[in-house]
Amino acid sequence: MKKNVASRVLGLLGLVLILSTAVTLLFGQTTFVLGKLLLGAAGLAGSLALSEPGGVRRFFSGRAAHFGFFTALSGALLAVVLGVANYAAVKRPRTWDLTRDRVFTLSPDTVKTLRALPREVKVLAFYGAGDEAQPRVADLLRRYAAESPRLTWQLVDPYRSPELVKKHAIVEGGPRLVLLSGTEEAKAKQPDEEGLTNALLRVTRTGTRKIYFTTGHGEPDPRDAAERGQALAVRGLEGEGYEVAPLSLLARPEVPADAAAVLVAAPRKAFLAPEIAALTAYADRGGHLGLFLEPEARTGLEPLLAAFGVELDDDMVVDPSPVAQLFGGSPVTPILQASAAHPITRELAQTGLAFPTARSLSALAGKPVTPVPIALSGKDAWGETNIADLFSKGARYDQGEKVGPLPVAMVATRPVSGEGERRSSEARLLVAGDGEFFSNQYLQLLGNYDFFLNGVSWLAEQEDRLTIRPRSREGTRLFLSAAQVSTIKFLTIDALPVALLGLGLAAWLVRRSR
Amino acid sequence: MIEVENLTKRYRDLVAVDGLTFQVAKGEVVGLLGPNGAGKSTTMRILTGFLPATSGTARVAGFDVFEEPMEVKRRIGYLPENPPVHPDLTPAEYLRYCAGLKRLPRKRVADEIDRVAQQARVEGVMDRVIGGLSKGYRQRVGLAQALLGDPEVLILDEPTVGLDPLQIREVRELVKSLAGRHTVVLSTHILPEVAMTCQKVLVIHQGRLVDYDTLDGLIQKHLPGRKVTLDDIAFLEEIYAKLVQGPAAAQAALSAGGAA
Amino acid sequence: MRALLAIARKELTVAFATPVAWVLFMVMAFFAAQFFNGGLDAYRFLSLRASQLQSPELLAHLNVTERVLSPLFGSMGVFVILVAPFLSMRLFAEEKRTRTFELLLTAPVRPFEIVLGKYLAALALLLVALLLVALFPLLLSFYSGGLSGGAGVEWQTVGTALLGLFLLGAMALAVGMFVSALTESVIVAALVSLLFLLGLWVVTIFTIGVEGPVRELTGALSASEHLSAFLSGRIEAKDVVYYLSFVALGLYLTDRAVEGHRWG
Repeated sequence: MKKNVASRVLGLLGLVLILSTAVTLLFGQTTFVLGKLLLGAAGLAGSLALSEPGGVRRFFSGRAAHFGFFTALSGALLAVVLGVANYAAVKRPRTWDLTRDRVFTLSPDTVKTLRALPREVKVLAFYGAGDEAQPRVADLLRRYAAESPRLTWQLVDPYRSPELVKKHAIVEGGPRLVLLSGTEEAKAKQPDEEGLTNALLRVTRTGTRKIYFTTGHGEPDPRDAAERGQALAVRGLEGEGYEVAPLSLLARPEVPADAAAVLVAAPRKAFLAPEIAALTAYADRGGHLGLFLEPEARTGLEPLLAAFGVELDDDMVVDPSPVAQLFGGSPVTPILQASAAHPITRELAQTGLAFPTARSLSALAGKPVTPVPIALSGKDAWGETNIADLFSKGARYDQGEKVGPLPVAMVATRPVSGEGERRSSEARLLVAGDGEFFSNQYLQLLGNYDFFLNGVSWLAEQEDRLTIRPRSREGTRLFLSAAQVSTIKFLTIDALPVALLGLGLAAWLVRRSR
Repeated sequence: MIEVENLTKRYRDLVAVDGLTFQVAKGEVVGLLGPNGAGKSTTMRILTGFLPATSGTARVAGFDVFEEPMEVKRRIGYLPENPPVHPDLTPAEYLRYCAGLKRLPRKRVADEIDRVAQQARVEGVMDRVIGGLSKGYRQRVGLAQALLGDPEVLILDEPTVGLDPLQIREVRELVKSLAGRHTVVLSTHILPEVAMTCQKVLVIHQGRLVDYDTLDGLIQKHLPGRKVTLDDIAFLEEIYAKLVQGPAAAQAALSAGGAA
Repeated sequence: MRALLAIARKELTVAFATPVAWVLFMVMAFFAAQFFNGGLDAYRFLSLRASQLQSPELLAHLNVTERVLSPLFGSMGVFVILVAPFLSMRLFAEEKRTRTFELLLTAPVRPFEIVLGKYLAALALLLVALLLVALFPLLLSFYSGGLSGGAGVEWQTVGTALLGLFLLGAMALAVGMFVSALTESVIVAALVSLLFLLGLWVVTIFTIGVEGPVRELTGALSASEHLSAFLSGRIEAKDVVYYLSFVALGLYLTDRAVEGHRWG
């Protein structure tokens, strides 16, 4: 009898040990798992040894054992079937969005984009577990992945994977969704449907994405990490999947065929005639030019600009407004208001830009092309023409000088003209009266970084093409008077529970009394 | 009606029923007699399909209790050792529930409940909560439940426990009246009960069948030449003691009976 | 069917005759009222601020279903988990304790009828509890309206949220019933199933800060994560399959546990 009890206890302990190893597996230590399994097996063996002779045989041959065996088998089988069903339901998601405003239904544009994905796209979402936005973003990605087997996604905790953060140039406050497809890479500007779908379009779009920086006119080295260099901006471009290369038009006066855009960043010396001819030919054939020109710089690029209807003013923008200086600017670092009407600056209308020492621009009258100003100085600013005395004697508004708001950045497009192979369907120009706003020193000021990246994207025809209005539930109106509030509180907190309690007590007492 | 063959029930270290074999013919009232723990309740539980036998077979109305339990259960009314009543229900609710369990046709339910309530004498307490009823009433509600649906076979495990003498007599009359139309197996350790209600007696001791015969047969077998009347119960005690304790105890019982 | 309904009816009679169900309903209603009023106060404060700040954009997106009702239903999830074991604990354990189980097993009723009858009764009680919670959107609908003139309460989302809670409760009851079929003690039945269900509810806390398949596995096992889509107005096949899997497994194992009595 005693032996029998010991046998049963040992058997039970052994079984518990063996079954609980499933949890031990989570700790990832094989020694623990093996130890528990061995101990459990020893328990079972001891139980067997101590059990009365014939007991085991009887246990396994009786009706109860038969029943137990088939129950365990069928139960396990059912569990497996259900497990497979769950797995299938996770792998091939089906969702019914029953919300009245179809809040969780992807727009037709997105669905079309996803169904037509030409190749595999992997999305890295840099959101840690504690991130407030993580569930929403994960949910969005899940819905994307449900539409296309070619889209996969993964959450990356930025604190656990600093190497990935570095590799993909993720910055605080910047985009945190990186799309990878083959060698291409793109970031979603905002973690919403519009940002993601546009990034998807960008990352799967084929064609050259090479950005050239002109050299040979005193331009700062783009890869220079010093204050004047543009290494940060270049890394940002590379993070967006662009290739950056220098371009010397002196050696070969022609823009390479793979150029998505040519940037002229803060030259100090004039371009030579063959160079200007090369750039003009490039623009005529549908090239994309980004000109970032400092005040006083004589570049000889005026005819090129004139063809787009833009003229450089020979001045320096001075903004005495104290508002501008609140942001750490000085009178010669005007804060610019960005236009909400253009894709480059749409998101920056609330942020503004800070351009250190900038010149203003004008639109030329009587040209077939009308440039669009996308960044304007404040009302109090004016274009100081006496630059030589500006820093020694101070600035003063003189009669005849232009007054704010002054355009400091403009865009213009014109159709392709002339002979030869077309570069694209239209020529694009982005011109700014400043060449330093994207240097390492000033890149982080206000919206400068985004302005630069968006500008290059626009030049390279990589701008967001789809506008997808975020869907949300319709607003509701709920005005409650104090009396109504107390009525609601009384009904819900007091009357309802008390009524239930009363009913219960009544039912119980009625029973009791019988 | 009931055929039991070589029935054995073994709990872990205990043999409760050991190779029991007997038959009960249709319409017979059989008393299961034996000391506490002899295996009476276990036998009845096996017959009703509540417990499985370790080996051997039991058939009721030709159906094996293990292979075709539904057929058997449909034909059996069973009153377990503890009346299976819900303390939170009234007898009326309880009997209606049982009628549902036994799938009585809806139209017949009300009449059927009235009938069994009358038979078991619980009409007066139909709307009181069972939990508030006395042990005797609970026992009778349990009995009413067993009678519900007029089953062919009634298995009653100590049906008169907890009843007062008058009620005991009523139940005995009831059981007697069931004879003929119903096959009844009842267990008890009250000897007069057997003498008064049963046609045959089945004595079990330590799980084994000790004797199974009519009362007359028992008397002839164990007290040959003695003339007894059924009102005098002393003879039964004597036989019982003989069967379950051996001759010495029987002698003691005899002398005690003689002294009385 | 007849026997099944008789069992369900008896269970309901017992439940309403004793104070247990009423107390549970009261607990549900009381806590729902707390969360409801908390959400309502927060909503009123927010809309007051929005109108003070003259922010039409914020006002246009303030939605009572999203801000008051969905959080309310989300908070009720854990109460469903807490209440269900007390609804299911008696189903079998009490029958065994009062020896009435013998009546069930000797009546001409198949185990699955017993199991389904009892489960049906438990589901009915759950439904009553959820209808109590549904009173809150009903109350709110009298006071609110949509900005463009429609209904203020989005009944579709309320419906999916209630469906989600019902499925969660159905799962909890199936689990609780199985545990109840294994023991004679109602307290043990309630505590063991509560422990198991709470474990499933918070299973993701074991993998906080873990990434990869283990985290996904616990997410897929978590009873609370499967509720979130329902709360926001969506029905996802995986969530339905998850809850129904537990229901199926619970019912099957309970059926086997009852049948097992016949086998010793």
